[in-house]
Amino acid sequence: MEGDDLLESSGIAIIRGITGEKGVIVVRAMGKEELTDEELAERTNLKVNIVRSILYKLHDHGLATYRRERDKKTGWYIYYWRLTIDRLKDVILQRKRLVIKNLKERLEYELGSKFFFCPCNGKRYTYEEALEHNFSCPDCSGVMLEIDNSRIIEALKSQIEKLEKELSSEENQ
Amino acid sequence: MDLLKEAYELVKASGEKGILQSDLWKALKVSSREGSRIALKLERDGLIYRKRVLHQSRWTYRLFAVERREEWGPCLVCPELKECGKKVGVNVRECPKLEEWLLRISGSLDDGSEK
Repeated sequence: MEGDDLLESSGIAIIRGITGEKGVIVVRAMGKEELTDEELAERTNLKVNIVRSILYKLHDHGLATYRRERDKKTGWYIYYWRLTIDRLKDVILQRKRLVIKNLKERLEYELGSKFFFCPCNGKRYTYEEALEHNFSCPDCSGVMLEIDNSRIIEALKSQIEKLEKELSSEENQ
Repeated sequence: MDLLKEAYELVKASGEKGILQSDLWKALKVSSREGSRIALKLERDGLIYRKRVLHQSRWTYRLFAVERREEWGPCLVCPELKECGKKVGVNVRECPKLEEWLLRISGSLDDGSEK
């Protein structure tokens, strides 16, 4: 998938997740140009400090890069930013690997203990935590009920399997 | 059906070709102002994206439905994905979004078998 297409589909959802709605506005305003933070602020009608914080977040995730030049008059640095959307595919793959790692961790957690909850607040307790409270809710003193998490375990297993297949086919593209 | 839902269904039905913003508001029988407001709202909700196109010598937007990434769950677009498990309170055991998603995909929300 080309960078432009990525930017318009799942890429934009990820950019929105990383930087929020204003980040999407900044990214769309940048396009393929190289711009200073102040030019971007003017173009998007956003405050320059907000634009900067968005650019730093994009930079942290490898989606923007900058070069700096010293202003001969003021002696200050001027930062020229541009997007590295060609890296977006790698960023998406990297995030997908992390998602699978997270789901596996959650699966281990689900398999590792029995769980209890109290209907008064829906809070979850591991077996050890419930034992500590003598299986009575610390908030309402009601009896805790055991959670049947077998469906969650099954859903996690099948989801992980599906996503691993999808990821490996994307990695081989 | 409310207008937003109807608009989203129309955009979704337009598939890969997408639909011109002007065609959308005509189909919905709303004003251009209302039509743009609806398109903007759907875009902000992450349901569609707008592509600026030149149509009959005028700039307008073509609307496309965003591919839903439900199967990847909330983690893929989470701003804290990189910090997950490294920051206090940010982990896969306590994340309310992950919990809600797991309940949904496992069907546990429908019959309340989990909680």
